[in-house]
Amino acid sequence: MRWLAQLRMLMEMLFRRGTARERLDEELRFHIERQIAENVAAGMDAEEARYAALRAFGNPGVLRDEARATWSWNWLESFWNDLRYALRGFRRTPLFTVVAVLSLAFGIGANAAIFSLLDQVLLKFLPVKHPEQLVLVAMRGQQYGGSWGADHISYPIYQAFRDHNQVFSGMFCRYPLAVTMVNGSHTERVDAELVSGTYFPVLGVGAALGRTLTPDDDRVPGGHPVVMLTIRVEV
Amino acid sequence: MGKPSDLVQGTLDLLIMKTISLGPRHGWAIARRIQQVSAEVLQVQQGSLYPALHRLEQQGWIKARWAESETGRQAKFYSLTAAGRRQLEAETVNWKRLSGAINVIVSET
Repeated sequence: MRWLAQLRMLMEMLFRRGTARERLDEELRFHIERQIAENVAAGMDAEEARYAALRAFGNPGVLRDEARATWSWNWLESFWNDLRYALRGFRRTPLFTVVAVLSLAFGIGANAAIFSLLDQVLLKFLPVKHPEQLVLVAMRGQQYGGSWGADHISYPIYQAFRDHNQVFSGMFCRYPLAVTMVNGSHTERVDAELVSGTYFPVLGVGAALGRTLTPDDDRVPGGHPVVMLTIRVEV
Repeated sequence: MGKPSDLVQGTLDLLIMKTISLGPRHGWAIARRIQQVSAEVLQVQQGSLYPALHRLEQQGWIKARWAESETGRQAKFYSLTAAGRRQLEAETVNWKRLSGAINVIVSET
């Protein structure tokens, strides 16, 4: 099972690399010293023996690097060394480092802020069930629209969509307008929406008090009018 | 003695694996043995054994153990793995075929 041996080497070269380096040096030292000992035993004097041993061996530094080059994770060690070198460089030129970091911080920070604002406003702000599943159906063209506005769809068309659609789990329509609200002697102009009865069920929004509009309320046109009020909480 | 022969890298692997197939050895002993057995014909630059040994170990053909050597100092002993043994056989067959073919061509008169 060669892969097991290879796996073992991978782990060893990752976690015990320092030990491996020391051991390689020890290995090469052992070899050279054995050769010197043999040369001495063959009659050379100490210095001659050493030169002869090194000549027979080759360049220890180069060979050590060649041996290390066969280890795995070289790219990682190389990357790590480059990183440490870069960090040392940063410490030597603090002003440059500060300017670079601030520029990056401003750039990244500005982008992040804009994105999270948009994220909140466009994607998360709608306090309904599954806002990501909401789709706006619009009709474009010169035949659509009417006296109420260029991009408005008529109620019969909406009904046709609602009754024959095979795509959406529910449909509703809405029309914004301003109304006058009278509270005792106090009159106020407020923003309101005309909505279909399916508005609240499809959005999954319930009433805090009383009931919401239901599809039932749609049956009789101009039947008993129902109003829902929103409580806006100011923080 | 003639000029030492250059060895192709693949054949160095073969020599190393064959040497340690007879028993675990450390790097110096492998170098000495190759020199002795080849009657000093093969003068390998001794140090070039080590990149080869380390490469073979990384590839899983040989494994190593640190143990006390004959001089009392600690040394790294290499031995063949099971997969290495099979690889040695395959490489030996290959080598015999290759050198046989070269022999035939070279012996042609």
